[in-house]
This record gives sequence, C-alpha cells and structure tokens, in this order.
Amino acid sequence: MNIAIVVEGPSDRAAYPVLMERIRTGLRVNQIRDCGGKTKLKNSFVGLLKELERNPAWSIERVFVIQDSDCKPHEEIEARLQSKLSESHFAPEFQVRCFATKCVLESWLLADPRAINTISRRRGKHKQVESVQVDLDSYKDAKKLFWEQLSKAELQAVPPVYAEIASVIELGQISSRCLSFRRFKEKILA
Amino acid sequence: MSGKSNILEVFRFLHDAVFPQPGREGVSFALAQRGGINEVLWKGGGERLVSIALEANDPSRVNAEYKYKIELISGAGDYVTTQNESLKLIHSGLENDLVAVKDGFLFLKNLDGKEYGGVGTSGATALQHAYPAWDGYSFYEFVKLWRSYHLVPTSMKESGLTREGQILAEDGHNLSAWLMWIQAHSSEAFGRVSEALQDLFPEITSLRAIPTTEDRVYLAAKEKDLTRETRVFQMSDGFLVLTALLSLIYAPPELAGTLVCIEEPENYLHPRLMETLVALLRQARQELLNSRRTPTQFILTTQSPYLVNQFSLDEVVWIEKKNGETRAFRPTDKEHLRKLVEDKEIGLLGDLMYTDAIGDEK
Repeated sequence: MNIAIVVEGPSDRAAYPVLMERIRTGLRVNQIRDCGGKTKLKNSFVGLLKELERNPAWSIERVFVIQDSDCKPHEEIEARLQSKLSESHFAPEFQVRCFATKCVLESWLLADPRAINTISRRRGKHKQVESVQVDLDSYKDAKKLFWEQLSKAELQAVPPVYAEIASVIELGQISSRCLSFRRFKEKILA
Repeated sequence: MSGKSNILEVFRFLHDAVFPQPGREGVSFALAQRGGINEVLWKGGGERLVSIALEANDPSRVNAEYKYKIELISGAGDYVTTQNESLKLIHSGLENDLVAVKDGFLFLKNLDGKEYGGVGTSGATALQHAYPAWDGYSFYEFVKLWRSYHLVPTSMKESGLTREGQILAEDGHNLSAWLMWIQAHSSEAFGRVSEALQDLFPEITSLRAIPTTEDRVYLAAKEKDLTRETRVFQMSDGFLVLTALLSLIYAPPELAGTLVCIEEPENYLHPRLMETLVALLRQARQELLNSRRTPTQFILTTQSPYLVNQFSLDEVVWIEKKNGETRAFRPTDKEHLRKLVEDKEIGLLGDLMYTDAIGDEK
C-alpha cells in the first residue's frame, strides 16, 4: 500500500515513516510533507492533500495527517482536522486519516531504552540509559526527557537519530506503555 | 537605520569599552571604532548623553546580581568623559558599590570598603582596570567572554592562520582555525560538531581541520561518492554557517563565551534546519544545567518566522523602531498575545511576527 504522511516537523518526518512501515508489512510511505509546526499543519494540510492528489504517478491510496496532541484530548484535535477537511469540500480519491499522537512522538520513543542504547552503541558511544519511570501517555515534558536520555547516551537530538531509534525500538514495548500507540497501530492496520 | 542590531551593538560597545586594544582607553577606543561620539549619539535629538545599564546574575554566587551603569557625556569639541560609572553587587538583598566616582576619578572598591585605582574619567572605564583581587572581577570576566557574530560565508571560505583560532571571529573568517583549536582542545566537542554535521548533511562522511606548512589551516570534508576531499573554499554557504553555529553550541567551556549574540543565524540555512538547530541548542543547554555548569546565554536576532516558531513567547524580545527610536519589549506581557499563542488560534509565534500582530508597544 502506498501512503503519504503530513506531519509537523523534521523529527516526525524522520521517525513516523519508519514506525509505520514496521507496523504494517507492505506499507510504503511514498511521500512525506512536513509543515513546520502544528498550526502550519492545521492551516495547510488540505492544500497539501490537493498537491498529493495532483500527481497520479505516486498512486497514493491513503494519507495520514499526524499531529502531536501535546497531552490535550486527541479526539478533539482529530475531529478538528477532520472537520477542516469536510469544510473545504475537497474529496480526495485517497482515504484521509487524521491522528493526534498523545502527547508527542518522543513519548513513544522513550518507551524502550534499549533502542536508545542500541543506537548509542552503533554510533560508537559507551553510555547507556535506564528506563524512565513516568506515565508516557500523560507526561508533558516528554520531549525534554527524551533529549536528556539522548544526552546521557551521547546522542544528539537530530532527525537521523530519531529515525534510527524508530527502526530498532520494540513496538510491543511502546504498545504496553502507550495506549495511544495501540490506537495508532490500529489506524495503520485498518 | 538598524533596529535589532542596535541592541546587539550595545553589548559590542560595552565590550570594546572594557576590553580595548592594548594601550587605548576603553571609551575612546569604543567610540573611535564607531566613527566618534556623534555616530553613537541618537540622531533624533540633541542629547549629548549616552547611558547604558545592564543587570546580570552571578551564577558563581547564590542570589547575587550585578547592576552596571555607565553614562558618557559629550562636551565641547565632542570631548567625551565618563560622567558616571557604577557597579553594584546585590547579594542576599544587600547592595554593595564596587565602583565609585570621586573628585573626577573612578575607583574600584572591594566589599570591605577598600578602594583601588583612581582612573581619570576622560575616555576610560573603571572596569577596564579591573584586577583579580577586586570583588567585581567575575563581572569583568563575564563581560570579557561576550561574543558577537554576523557570519559571512564568503569570508569563511578562506584558510586561516593557525594561531588565530582561539575565538571564532565575528564574521567567521577564521572558522578553519577555530575548528582546529576545538579539535585540539576538546576532541569530544569537535566530535559532536562533526557528528551533527554528518547527520544533517548525510553526504558528509568526515570533517577535519588540516594544518599547512605555512602556519595556515583549512577545513576539509569527505563526501560520499567523491574520491577527493572538499576543501573549505568549495563548501556550501549553508554548510559553513551551520558548522560555525554548531561550533558555538558545542564549544568546550574553556572556549565558550558567556554571552553569544548572533545576527540572523537563519541566513543561508534551509528553514527545516531551524527546528533541529534550536533542538540541539536546547539539548546542549540542558546538559550543562544538569551538570551544574553555567550555559552560554544566546541572543539571536532574526527576520525568520521559522526561527521564531521554535521559541516560546517568554523567550522573545520584540524590537521595533518608532519615531526614530529603537524600542524593545516582551510580547509575553501582552495577555491577548499569550492567549492566542497558547490556544494556537491565530498561529505560531512566527505567524504573529509576520502579520505584525506582536508589534506596537501600546
């Protein structure tokens, strides 16, 4: 299945495709659009959907619009995006799924410290991190905490590191610690 | 003509006044660098007074704050004297004068009341005569490590003199030498710069500073698919500017500034790099705070909504020109703006900046 994603920024651009292709075998993230922030995503995703439909060579079957919820109710955010699309009267030929990650992408990447440690070792570092003991589905400073974990493992907060962690992270571990990830998986697999 | 740059210019002026060229008096030197007092005075009025005041926390002392003020007055024949200079250390609620002006002379004063010096007020600052036993010396050291940057890639494409690498120059022209200095003093810091560059420019496989037999040094990078190294003069503008910015973020403590002012760091960079650059800055800052070290304070001027979007309202100072005056204020004081940004109703901070909704101090 060929899909496209519309996300907020470069870290999302790096990590989401890796996670999604691991969740569903045969799924291919063909096109990625990052908008440069939450509000830009909200204001420009309909235009980007139109742009994605314009090139039939991409053969996109589904588009996921993914936004961090910043720990706010994800239903409201998803509904807002969906209604924005309805109000535009744009009816693309592909399916559009809106998803609000609770709270931020980093909440998921914190779920499995072994992934951080693996990437740290691969990059020739010698420091390891322990598991963080917070409720990842509600912890508001997940981004900061994730960066601290990266620092402890001598890794930098750059998109390639996000992608590498996403490529080795234990998906079951994320599911067990983040309800929102289970919901995300269901959306991808549906 | 400038607005934001005026603010940074105050820091540069003060730095020049405290750290002039050897043998020069600070104020005279700082004024001469700018074409004389008439080029420094506000051109919208007849006032002959330049007044600079600043407040700073002293991280080496708990609950300690410095208040510094200098007033320069221009008299007949554009003759400039230091009308007043004061440095106060406010410690646990007690205010102590560390600079005194008496009978036309400036004195450095210790907490026990002892006075030293007796510098004439003509063209000089008391601060430039600081010495290690003076109780205000840490403030002097703090000012010493102020850095100011307006990076110019064409200048950065030169090889540099090896011995000139201790401090990255304002336009970055000694970038190669500076990186060699970092490489020699902290392989960890150089490694971090190099690793970040390789992540952000995946075609780069290694970066190194290469000395020549003529006491010069140039930067060279190995790229995938190329058999020979790319030398500094062939590197892209964006790559060089990003290299310089990363080197300032990861500079080891002994080479880092206390205050780093950067004019429009977004120049030559892809907007997508803004988010990562600020993420790295925040991550590095947090590392220093977690290890109980004082991080460098960065002041960035910008025209870029993309860069502004990476900051919270609390972190932004808005500069505008009105009736010929440069004014600065904190938009976070405006409740309606705070609410707009929190609710993300209008948009990100950058959108507010673009639409000029932040402007107008009223």
